[in-house]
Amino acid sequence: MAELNDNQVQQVTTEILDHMMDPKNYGKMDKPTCVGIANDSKTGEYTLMYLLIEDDNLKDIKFACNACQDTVVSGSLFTEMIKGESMEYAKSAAQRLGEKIKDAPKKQQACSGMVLRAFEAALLHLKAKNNGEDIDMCALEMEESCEIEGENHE
Amino acid sequence: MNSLQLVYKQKHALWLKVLFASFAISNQKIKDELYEMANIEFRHMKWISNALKEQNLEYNYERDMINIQKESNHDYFAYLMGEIQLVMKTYNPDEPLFARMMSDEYYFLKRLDFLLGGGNDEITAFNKQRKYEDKNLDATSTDALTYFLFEESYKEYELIMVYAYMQNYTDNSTLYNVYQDLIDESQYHLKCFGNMLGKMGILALPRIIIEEIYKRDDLKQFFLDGIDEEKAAKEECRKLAEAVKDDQLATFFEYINYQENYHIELMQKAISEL
Repeated sequence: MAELNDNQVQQVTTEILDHMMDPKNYGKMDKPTCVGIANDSKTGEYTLMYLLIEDDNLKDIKFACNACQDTVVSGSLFTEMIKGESMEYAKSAAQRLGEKIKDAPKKQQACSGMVLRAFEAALLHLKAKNNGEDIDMCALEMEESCEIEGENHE
Repeated sequence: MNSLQLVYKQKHALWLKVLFASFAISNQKIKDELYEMANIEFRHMKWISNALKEQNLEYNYERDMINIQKESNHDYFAYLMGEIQLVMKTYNPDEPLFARMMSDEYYFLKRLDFLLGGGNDEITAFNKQRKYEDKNLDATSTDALTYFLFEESYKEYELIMVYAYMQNYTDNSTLYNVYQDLIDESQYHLKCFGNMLGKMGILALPRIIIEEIYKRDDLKQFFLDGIDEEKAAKEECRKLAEAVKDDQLATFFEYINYQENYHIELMQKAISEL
């Protein structure tokens, strides 16, 4: 009989359950400062990240995705963590989270990584706009896929 | 936003409110009655989307914040009555489509008012207990079931809305019928998973569907992706059936697993029509 192991299922803590039942900052933003998208062409999954920046502060942030529940939870947790903070704080938080997930199971690395990759793409868009480029958004391809070890994911 | 587009947006939200009330309430008779009301609201939505298409007006699946968490059946009935009355205010009663919808909803209001006069029950669908009926699932199985139900309830909602959108914009009768079959199947699956979420105390509305998901130009690729997703869903069902260590639940997930086979057939039939 097959067992679901820790590599396949993230433990559902009370905090995670709250974010599953009511994902924070989910949806599109009407007039963002910058937009990034992380694509996983292997699975067709993607995550969009919208930032509204005022005076170097992250006034608002939203994300939307065609991805699995782990990505939704990661997006909800991450956006809650940096919303309303300075851009410097947001960037360092993304860096810290990136370091932290290196120890997580592969699937979680990929799903949380997609959120961070979308944030990174949004920052690239911001940089491009500041350099006078007229583009709608920046896109980055995922290096790790959510489809781990033959697991065919949503 | 045009008034018909606004009605559509509100109808979409109302359908979800009534549907998820049916998942939240334990009393089977009331649950069934609300589910039928939700199905009629869904048909209203379909008619409005068709009217929008005929007027060359776009529509989308955006919706405002909805709080479905109520403490008792009576709270739910009162809430739904208020929500129905709000939507009814947006209708033009001189138009036959709206006259029909008003007639349906006057009846719903009467029924909800009648139910408000009856017995009351506490709602347990949001208590986060994560206990499914009398099953003794271990923590890993419970977590797996939790993830599965969240993933799949969103997916079924998404599929219903995506196929409804595509059905509205096709002139091909075979494709129209395929979309209808797929909508019906996903409605059934959403009902199963929604009721399970309610029983486990973790009922929640699915997240909104972004338009990149349902406004697709490459239909063939859409169906090919859909076939991959159905295969993935089959695999998830199979793994869950093996992992939950409960015969009744395992049988149920095997049953859902085999239903996905036919969805793949329907999508292949759709590809052959493109």
